[in-house]
Amino acid sequence: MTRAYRDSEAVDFLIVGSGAAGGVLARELSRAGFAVIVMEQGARLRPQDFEHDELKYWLANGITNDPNVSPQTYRKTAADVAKKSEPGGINPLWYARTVGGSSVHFTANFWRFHPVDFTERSVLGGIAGTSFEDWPVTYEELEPYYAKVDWEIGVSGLAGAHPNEPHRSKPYPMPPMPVKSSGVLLERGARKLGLHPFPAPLAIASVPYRGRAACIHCGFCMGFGCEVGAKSSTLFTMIPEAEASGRCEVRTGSYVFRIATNTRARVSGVHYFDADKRERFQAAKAVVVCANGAETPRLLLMSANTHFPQGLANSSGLVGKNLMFNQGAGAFGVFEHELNEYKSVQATRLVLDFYDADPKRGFYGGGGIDARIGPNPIVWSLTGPQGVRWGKSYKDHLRSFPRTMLAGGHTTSLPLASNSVTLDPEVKDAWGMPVIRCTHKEHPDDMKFAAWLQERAVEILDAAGAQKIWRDPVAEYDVSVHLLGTCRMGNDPKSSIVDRFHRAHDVPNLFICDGSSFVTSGRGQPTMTIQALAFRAAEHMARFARRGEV
Amino acid sequence: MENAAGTRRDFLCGAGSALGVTWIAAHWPAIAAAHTHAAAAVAGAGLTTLAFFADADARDVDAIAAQIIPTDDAPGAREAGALYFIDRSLHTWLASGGDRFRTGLREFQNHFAATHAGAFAAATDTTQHAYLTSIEESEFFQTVRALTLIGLFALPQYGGNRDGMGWRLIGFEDRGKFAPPFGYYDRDYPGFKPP
Repeated sequence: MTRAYRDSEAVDFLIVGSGAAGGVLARELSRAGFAVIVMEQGARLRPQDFEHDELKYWLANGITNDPNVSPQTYRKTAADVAKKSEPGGINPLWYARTVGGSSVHFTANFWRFHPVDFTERSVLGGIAGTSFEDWPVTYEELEPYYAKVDWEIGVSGLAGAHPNEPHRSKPYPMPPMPVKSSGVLLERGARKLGLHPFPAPLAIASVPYRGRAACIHCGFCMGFGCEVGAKSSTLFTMIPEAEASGRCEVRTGSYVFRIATNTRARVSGVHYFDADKRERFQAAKAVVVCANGAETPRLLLMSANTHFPQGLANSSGLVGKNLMFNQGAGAFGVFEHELNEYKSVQATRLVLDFYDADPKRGFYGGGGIDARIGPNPIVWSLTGPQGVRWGKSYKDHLRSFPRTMLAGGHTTSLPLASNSVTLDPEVKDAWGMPVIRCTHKEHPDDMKFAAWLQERAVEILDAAGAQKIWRDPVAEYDVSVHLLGTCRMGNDPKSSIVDRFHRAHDVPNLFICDGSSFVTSGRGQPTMTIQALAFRAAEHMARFARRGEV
Repeated sequence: MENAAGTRRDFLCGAGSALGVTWIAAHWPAIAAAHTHAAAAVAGAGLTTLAFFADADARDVDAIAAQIIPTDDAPGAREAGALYFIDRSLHTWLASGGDRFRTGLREFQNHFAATHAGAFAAATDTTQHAYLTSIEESEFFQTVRALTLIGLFALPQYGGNRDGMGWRLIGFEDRGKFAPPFGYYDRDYPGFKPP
C-alpha cells in the first residue's frame, strides 16, 4: 500500500519531519484523501532493531543528531563566543533523527496542559523583559484533540484521580501502568504532606492496544526505542496508518535544506539531499514544517530568498526566537529496601499540586514532581553525589542503585527573545549547510522556581522515609530535549509566525506545527500538546485545501 | 525525557568537569563505526589478550582501575575486565586518542617514579590510594575513572562487564522482561484510591 511519488509530482502536502507532529499530520491528511510525502532525515528502524545498549544510545548518538556530521554551536548570550559541539560528543539541542523522531526515544510522559497554560498572561499579567503571552487557542478548543491523542495515539492513565485535573471529555483508553516502588513511595510521602499524587499518564500501552503489544516492563524507555512497539511512538502508530491510506510516502534519508517559493511568493516544493547526498527537488502544493523547535526555524532561515530576505515566514523577525527548554531539578532518595527502579517505565506516580504559579512566592513558575528511575547503570555510575568519586565508598554508593529513586521536578521556562536558534555564521555541517547556533540562558525565575520545587521533592522523599537524600545544585541547562517556542502561534503577524491554524502569516500555503508553535512552555511534558495541536491543525489544513485556499 | 537531558548534562558537564569525560566525548565518533562491526565487538567479550597496552602499562592501568572500583566481598573493576574494555576501546573506537592516553600514562608513571621506588602496580594499597588521591583532578585519572566505570556497566560485548559482573554488583538485571511486583514497596500495594 506504500505509495511512492515522483519528484516532479506536486503532492498536496509535503511534511518535513516524521516525529510527534509530522506523524499525526501525515496520517490525518492522507486519510482525508490528500497526497502526502513525509521527508525524514533519518533511517527507519523496526522494534527488533532497538537494543539495550546504553553506550550506543546515551553516549554515542545511536539514533540522535550527531555532532560528527551535524554539529551545533552554543553560547549563553549574544555577547559570548559560540562554542561548537565536539565531534561525536553532544549537541545542545538533542533529538532523535529517525522515523518517528523523538517520539521514538521519549520517556512518554503524557500530561495535558491545564487551561491556565493558555491564558496565563491574562491571569498573572505580563512579566517584564519576557515575551510571556496568551495562546491564540484555549484548553476547551484543544480538549477534543487531547482526547484524540489519548485514544488514537494510545495513552494509559486514570481519569478523575486528582483534584486539579482539567476537564476531559473521555476517560483514558487504557488503565495506568502498574505502580512501581518509587510510585508507592512518592504516593506515601506526598499524602503525608497533604498533596494529591495520582497515576502518571503515559503514552505506553498498559494492555494490548490497536494491534500493538502491551509493555513488557524491560526498563529501557528513556532514550531508547521500544523493542515491542508498546511505546506509542508515531513510528508504531500514526506512520503505518498513514501509509495504509495508500496516499502517503515516507521518504527516509531525505534532508530538506531549503523550501522553494515561486514568483507569487507561494511555496512550490523543497530542495533536499537524498541518502546519497544528491541534491533533489520535490514539488508540492503546500509544505508543512514539523522538524522540531530547533530544525524548523533553521530551515525557515535557510530558505531566505529575494521575496523573503530575512528567511521564510519571518517578516516579524521572530523566527527562531523565544526558545524554551523546560527547567527541572530533582532529588535522589535511598531507601531501606529494594525498589528496582530499573524495571518498567520511568514514572508511575505524579504530583501536580504545584502546577499553578503563585505570585506570593515572589517569582513565576509552576511544575510537577514525578517518581522515576532516573539513569541506567552507566550514567548512574558516572554521576552520583558530590564528594567521593572513586574507591570503596564509591563502590558502596553504586550498590545503592536498586534502593534509589529520583523525585523529578519538571518546570516552566519563560519565553525570552534573547534565547534563540539562529544560523551560525561560520560553521557548516557535513552537507555544507549552516548549522544551528543556540543562544540560551534561563530567566532568573526559571531557576528560582526549579530550586523551590526541588525543596518540595526533598520533603516528599523525606516524608516517604528515605534513609538518605542527595541532589545536585540546580543548574542552567546547556543541553535540552524540549525544543519549544521558536515559531510561536499568535493572532498578530507582528508578534508571531503562524496563526491559530498553524498557517504562516506570510505564506498561505506554508504550515508549521511542532514544539516551535508553543507560546509558553507548559510544565515540562510537551509532546501530548504538540500532538493535540497537530490533530487540530490537520482538520483546518484539510478544510483550507478543500476550499482551494492553499 | 527532560531528565534525560539533565542526567546527560550532569554526566557530560557535571561529572565531566572531569576533563577526562570531555576527552572521551571528543572521541565518541568512532564508536558509531565500531557498532557497524558489532560481530567483531561480540568477539571482544571475555578477552584475555591485550592489543593496546604492553604488559607493564597494563599492570598499572589495571591497578588504577582496581583502586577506582576495588575488590571487596564482591568483584571489582579488575575481575570485571575493565582493563580489557579500556584496552579494546583504545585499540578500536578510541584509537584516535591512543597517543594522548599513552602520554598521560607516561606522565603518571614518571611522576610516580620520581617519588617512589618501583612501579605503581607494585606499590602497596595505601601508597596507591594516596598517590591517586593526589592526582585525582588530572585529565588522565578522570579518563581512566570514566572508562573504568563505563567498562563496568556497558554490554559485555565491549570487553568489560564480564559475565555481567558490573550489573550484579549494583543489582541490575538486563532480563528484557519483567512483571510486577518490581520491588519491595509495591509488593502489597492495595491499589490506587483517589483521596
